[in-house]
Amino acid sequence: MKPMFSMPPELYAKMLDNLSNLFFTEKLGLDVDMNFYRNDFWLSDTAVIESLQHRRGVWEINLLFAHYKTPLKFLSRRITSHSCRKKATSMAFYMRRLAAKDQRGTLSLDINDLHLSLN
Amino acid sequence: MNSLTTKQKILEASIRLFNWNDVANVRLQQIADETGISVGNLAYHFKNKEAIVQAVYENLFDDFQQILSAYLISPKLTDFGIQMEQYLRFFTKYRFYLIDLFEIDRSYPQIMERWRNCIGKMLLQIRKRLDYYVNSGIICPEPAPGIYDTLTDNLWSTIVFWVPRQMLKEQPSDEAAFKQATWAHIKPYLTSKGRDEFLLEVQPIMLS
Amino acid sequence: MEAHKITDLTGKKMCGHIQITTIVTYKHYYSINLQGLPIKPASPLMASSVTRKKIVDAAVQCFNREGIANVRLQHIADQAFVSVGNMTYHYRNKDAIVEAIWEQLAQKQRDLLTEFRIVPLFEDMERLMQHIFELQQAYRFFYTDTLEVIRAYPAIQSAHRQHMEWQVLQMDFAIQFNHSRGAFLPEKAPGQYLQLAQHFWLISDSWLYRQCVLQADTSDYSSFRNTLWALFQPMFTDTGMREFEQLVYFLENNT
Repeated sequence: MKPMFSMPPELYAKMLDNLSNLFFTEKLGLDVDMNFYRNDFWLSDTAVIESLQHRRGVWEINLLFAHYKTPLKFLSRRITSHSCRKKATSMAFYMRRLAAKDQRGTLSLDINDLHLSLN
Repeated sequence: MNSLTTKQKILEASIRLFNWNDVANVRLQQIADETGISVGNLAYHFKNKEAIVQAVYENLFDDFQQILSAYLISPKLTDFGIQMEQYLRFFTKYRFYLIDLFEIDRSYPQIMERWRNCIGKMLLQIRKRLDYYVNSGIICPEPAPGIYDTLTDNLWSTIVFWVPRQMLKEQPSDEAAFKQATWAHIKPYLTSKGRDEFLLEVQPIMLS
Repeated sequence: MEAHKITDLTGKKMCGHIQITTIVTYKHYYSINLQGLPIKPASPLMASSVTRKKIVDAAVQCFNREGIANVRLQHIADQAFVSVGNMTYHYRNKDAIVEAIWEQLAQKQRDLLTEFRIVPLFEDMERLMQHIFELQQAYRFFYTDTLEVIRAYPAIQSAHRQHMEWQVLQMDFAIQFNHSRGAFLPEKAPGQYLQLAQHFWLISDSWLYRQCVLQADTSDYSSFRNTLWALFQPMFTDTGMREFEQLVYFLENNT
């Protein structure tokens, strides 16, 4: 007979306790908990540019997302950081291309969309 | 049943024969006839009766582990009913084992060791399940210290010895009667919340 | 009859002593009085039943020690200090001996339960449990190998089944009696008392087996009675509860 996996009974008892407690600590999530995912959908309709910043000895890659219809809705996110500037530049280049909705540059921005007040 | 391999068919046939006669009285020729193959074919898959017996016990313990792993899948009372059904099916399928247990212990002591281990786990599971039901308010807390330990023992005895006892009484193992018997242990300790859940969810299944 | 009490060897080793003990036995049958005439026992049946009892007791001891399948007639004969021929005169074969043992056990159980049925108070239930426990210890081979025995000796099967049903009915009656005198709560659903009686016998019959499997102490009476009383505890009324506490107090102070 193949050797049997055996667990000391006290340990098994503790494991069963934990399994039972799962039903008290872990409950099914609510739908509203997933809103953080839905809130980011507009990011797929954005124009993206990268910006490199040298902070605390590393080069941080920040992507700037601006919605193409309402460019005033924009967001800057720090993605990652590298110690080498060349590496960061290269990574940022590819990240921008991945993130951008319009990869071939056919989308254009109308200046009137910005609704800037010059006062 | 072409989906079963020949080996599995042999094992199924052996289990049927072991239930019918004792393990010791079954001969290889009988197993071959029951499977519908020749003794030579049987010898190809299993060297001797010893190998068949060992394989059957491997299956037995695997099945038991399967049932053990079905502990508290859902937080409701019906989960207990489901696990008990599985136990009933197990003890019906392998009823020869309980009958021959002490003979087996003499010839294959490591099997008794594994069996003890399994029983220990089964008892622990029942005890912890009772604790869980106390925590979720389905069962009242222990009226006096030690009562739920004896309740565990009684529940265990009922589950394990139901099938052999029915065999003694020459009655077929009736699933509904088994469920009645096992739930009768727990019913006195249900809270009102537990009783509601019992009537809503467990009772309809028991009567069907 | 003192010759054979020299040692307590096992059946096999006593082979060498058979000659001596046979002589002793015959001497008992053919002892002579002062006139030189043989003294016959008071009734021929008495000696025969004494031998029968010896054989049955010896068989029980052999079965308890070795398991029912491994015992041969020779072993029983050695244990009982009779010859195999003598034994065969009383019991044709091993089947007959097993049937006789079962009949003896069943009779004892019947006596217990009939006595119990008269007034099943809690003290009587406690005494019943004690007696059941003692019977189990004495006839332990039957309880550890019940199914094997029943399967190997089919003559006992139907008798045993009826016996079990009768036991359940007796216990059911006892529970109803306790309900009518106010110690037990009424049935929540019809058939609950019968179910409880079934449980009582299932658990008491399988207790020895369980202790063997769990490698627990098989002579632990307190665990036996606790398991059985736990069955009845959810049924206690206040009166019942008080009576049970009195019983526990009485037992603690008197044992």
